[in-house]
Amino acid sequence: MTLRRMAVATAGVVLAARAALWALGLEAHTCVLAGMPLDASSWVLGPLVVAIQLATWTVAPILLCWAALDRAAGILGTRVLRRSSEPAPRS
Amino acid sequence: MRAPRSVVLLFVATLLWLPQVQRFHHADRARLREALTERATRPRDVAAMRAVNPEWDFMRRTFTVLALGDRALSAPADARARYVAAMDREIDDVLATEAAHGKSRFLLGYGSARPFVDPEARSVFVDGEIVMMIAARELVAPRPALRAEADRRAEAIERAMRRSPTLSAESYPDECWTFCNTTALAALSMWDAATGSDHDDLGRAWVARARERLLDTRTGILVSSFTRDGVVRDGAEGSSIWMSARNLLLVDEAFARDQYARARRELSVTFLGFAWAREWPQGTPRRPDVDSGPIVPLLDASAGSSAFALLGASAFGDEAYLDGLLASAELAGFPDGAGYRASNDVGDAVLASALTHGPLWARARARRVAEVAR
Repeated sequence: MTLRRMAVATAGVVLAARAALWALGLEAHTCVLAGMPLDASSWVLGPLVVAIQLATWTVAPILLCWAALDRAAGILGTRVLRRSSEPAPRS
Repeated sequence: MRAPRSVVLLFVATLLWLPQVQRFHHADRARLREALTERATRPRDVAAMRAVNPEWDFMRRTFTVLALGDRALSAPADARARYVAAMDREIDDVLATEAAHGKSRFLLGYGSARPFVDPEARSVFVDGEIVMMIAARELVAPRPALRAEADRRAEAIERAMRRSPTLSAESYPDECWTFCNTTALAALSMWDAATGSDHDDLGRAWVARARERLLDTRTGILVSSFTRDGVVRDGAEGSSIWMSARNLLLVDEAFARDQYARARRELSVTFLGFAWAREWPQGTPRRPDVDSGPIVPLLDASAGSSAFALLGASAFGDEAYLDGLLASAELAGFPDGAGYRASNDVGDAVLASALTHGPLWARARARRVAEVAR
């Protein structure tokens, strides 16, 4: 697996985790931040939800952006190499 | 040595993306102001809140009344009656609740564990905020039926403060809080503006005494709590100073601005358009408690301090900081259309008061200026 594919897969996992939190209604556990846990599990789920939310807005987009840049650089690099290896046109 | 292309591109991607994140987390202040004021009048879970801290049950009412008062003063005349009626419901309920359950109803358990030092044994936390609620109501529209109640409590506050060596009254037995004493002073100032009474001398004397005895030696910020004799218990704290600075605007504006500037320097953090507040200045020992709320590791962000920082930023017109705090709430507070899931009832009321702040304080100050001019 290339580094780029790993980055895209990681971003996908983070986004999927965020979607799962939303679907399961786990965001409600973040009230633990205000000192009012829903139940004992909030002390784990609340910080976890916040961490995944932060990763959704930082880690995932950065990895996707990096993957796009890496791909673009790869294409540009190949073209430049191909052009430089072509014989010079005869004058 | 050349850095690998991947590392360079990761750096570029980070630089490109991170500054854009706050663009996706812009709070709609007008919508929040309306929604939170409504929500604050209908607490979601009072029993759960009281189980954590009965003070929050009381403070929710104070901040809700202040938000409703500000809304009433800025609303068209035909909409004002609705806000005034909601203020009356909150005030009548708090007075009835205190009458039914006793004066310890809104205090933490240790409030009745030992006797107060002051002979009248009253909590300035309760009396100050009740006078503030009634004064807010009076500034919006007179309600003569409440005047005797507020007068009685205002007189009790003044007696207790003047008897104290620090000119500060107790919130709990031998425990004075700057938050509560500045709230009481602001309440007396509002009451003066509403009724023509005069507590200016007490306010001036308190500020002079506070400058002598209640400033943190390193930061110059008012300490958070102390004994009646002035022995410091808790130093500078965000859960105290933002609100205290806002209160002091009605007592001594120059001192209030100085305190806000110091709090901003020592406690605020801003990063790429986001902002939050620490509970303690850097280098100060941490003692997380019910006031600070949980502290977010690495960021050192305190929910309690950050919520009250919204009050300060709003009162002092610190738009950049207010925008940053709201952006953080949008990112990590989980908006649900009418507020934030990561908040609670008292948090909603504090935020409502922060976003509506202005008309009440302006009216109180304008009337005071007019009185002084006369």
